[in-house]
Amino acid sequence: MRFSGSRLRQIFLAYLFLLPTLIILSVFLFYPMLRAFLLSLWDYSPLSPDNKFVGLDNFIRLSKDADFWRSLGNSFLYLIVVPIIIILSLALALLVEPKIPFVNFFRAAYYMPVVTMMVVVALVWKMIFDTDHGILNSLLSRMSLISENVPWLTSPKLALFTVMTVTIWKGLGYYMVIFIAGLRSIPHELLEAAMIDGCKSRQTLLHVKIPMLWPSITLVAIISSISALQVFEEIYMMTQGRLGTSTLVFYIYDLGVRGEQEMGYACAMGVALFCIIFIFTFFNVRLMGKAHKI
Amino acid sequence: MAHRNNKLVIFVISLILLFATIQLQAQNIEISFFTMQLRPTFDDYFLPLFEEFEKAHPGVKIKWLDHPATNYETKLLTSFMGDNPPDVVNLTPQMLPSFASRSVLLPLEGVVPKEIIEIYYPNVVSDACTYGGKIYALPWYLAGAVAMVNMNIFKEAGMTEKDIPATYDELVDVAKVIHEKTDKFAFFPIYTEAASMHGMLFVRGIPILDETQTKAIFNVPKSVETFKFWIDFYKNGLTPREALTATHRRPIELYKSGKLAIFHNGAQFLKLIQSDSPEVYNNTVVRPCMYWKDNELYTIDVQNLTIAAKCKNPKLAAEFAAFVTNGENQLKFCKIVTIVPSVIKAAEDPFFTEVEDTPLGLARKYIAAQIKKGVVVRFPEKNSAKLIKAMDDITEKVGLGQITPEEGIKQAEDKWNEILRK
Repeated sequence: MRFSGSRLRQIFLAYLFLLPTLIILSVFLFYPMLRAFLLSLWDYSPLSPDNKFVGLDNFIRLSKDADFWRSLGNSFLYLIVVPIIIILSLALALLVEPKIPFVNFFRAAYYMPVVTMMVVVALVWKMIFDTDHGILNSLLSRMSLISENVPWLTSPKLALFTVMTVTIWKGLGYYMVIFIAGLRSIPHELLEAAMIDGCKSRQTLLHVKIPMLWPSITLVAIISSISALQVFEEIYMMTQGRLGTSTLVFYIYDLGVRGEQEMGYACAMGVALFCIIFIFTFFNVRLMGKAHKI
Repeated sequence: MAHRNNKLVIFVISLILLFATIQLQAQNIEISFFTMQLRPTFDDYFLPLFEEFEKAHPGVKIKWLDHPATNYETKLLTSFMGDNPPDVVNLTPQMLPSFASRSVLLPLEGVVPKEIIEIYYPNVVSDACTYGGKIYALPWYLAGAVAMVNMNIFKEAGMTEKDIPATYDELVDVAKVIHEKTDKFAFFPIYTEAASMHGMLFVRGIPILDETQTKAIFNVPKSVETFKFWIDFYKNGLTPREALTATHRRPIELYKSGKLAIFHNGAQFLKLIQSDSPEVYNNTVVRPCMYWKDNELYTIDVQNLTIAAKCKNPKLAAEFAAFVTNGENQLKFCKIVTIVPSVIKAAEDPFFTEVEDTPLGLARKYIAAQIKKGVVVRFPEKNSAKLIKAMDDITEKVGLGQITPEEGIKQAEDKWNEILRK
């Protein structure tokens, strides 16, 4: 295959435009990923004189590490937030998509938690969920719904689920925007045809809107699943991983950054998490694709 | 031709200026000083201090790098990894082993004269400044805790100043009355942050390790009794439910909001209470920290100054560290904030005994007196993070009722020995 001079120049220019992004990605993404993979084969702690190559020992160690499996279990348990987020953010999108008075105010209000710093969010929610002085228990008690304070963040049975509610609350606005975009891309003729055929709102939703929104639902499912498997900030800010709420990313942070800074072992867990997310996302896409065809 | 000559003249002048600048820079020695959360509150103390040192050492410039306490250790580690460490570093005794074991700190023998080391409290030097038998730090200021008591809550519970508990043994009855009559809490112990339970055993005078420092020996009846005391305090609802997992920031929040009767901490918090909650401050009385009847010991928090092993001017850096930590300068610092100097002579100054009858004045007196019966809570030199985590995890299990205090102490000792053997 031969290229003319102008075609060659065009290709060269295209690569030239790609170069800055490629450099940035290489320095800040590809190199750290490669380095993390290499470190996972080392018993490595920063500046330690005892760093040595250990091959697959870190992976063998994590297969026997009860805390790793517990944290991984919690990360998978966290996936409960995914269907809830999909249903609630879709409901919100359906509410604020039509052009009604003050709709922009509501859209902005629902999006506010997304742009609010997690530190602030966690502080406020910790005050709400506080067992002895919290607003929620006080409210429930005044309404005579509870006889004694509910240990929202102080019971191992409840703490992780309480944190999940914060994740859901904070993420709704973001996924709502995706669904609004999806709803706007539904051809108007389809909705009109459904209306002419005498479809009621519920039927239009179930048989027209949701099937047409399936690519958006798939996207939200994938993004929110990955976020759920990588949850860290909420755990760090609200429970510090105590009461059995440690998730895998929190455990990686705990071992690699805090404490003994066992970076080699933490990197091995990072590699394991990457593989888990990769496999999970692959099946997620396949299953969602199959469901769409059905 | 004249135009070309002009260009040549400009080029030569630029070269001369460049070399002159390089020369000037070479004469200027910079000592970087890495500290924990001191700016901007103490700018008025430190900036003149640096000027004084710079005046006495022409050509030397102090570069102050102050960082918040959050993730301080990680930031410092990053600067060491980047091969650009600061010269003089503010560390706590708990952080010292982590850096000394990585050979990034300079042993001070031979760099700091022996007669300078001798001016500090010897127990502080041995407990807070050494690693592997070598001195790695000069002790800086010492902090102790006092009990800040909200008299409003005591009055609400029908009690007076006479009822303020002096010992932990007296605390339980007071806590019960306060909780029953006011629905508020008397005291907020920290259970699972940085092995708090280890600290609780430490101040009870229980030996934690054997002489070789490689074997845990704290599974004794007194440990079980101490453990049980605090766990019962939690289980009987005498402290908020969140205490089991809370960090040290939570008690101050509750005290400021008038929901906690007794707050144990450094007297620097008095100023914070005064600015954030004037009403609580006006009803606050200060008392010495509570202690155990059978063993009057108090914990001392120490701040150290260390020198980086890769420091280009170790003698000068050590001279600067000795200057900052000398008795005169520490005493000046103590007059701004309620801390106690680590220099024996400075700590004996009448400033710490002849005090005004104000919360801050009394706090200074109490803390200075407590330092004499003070202990520095230390962890074994290796694997301290794993040991801390093990202790916190087991305390959590006992608090949740998953195991008994007896089983907890046994499991903690076994786990510590397992980690120490590695």
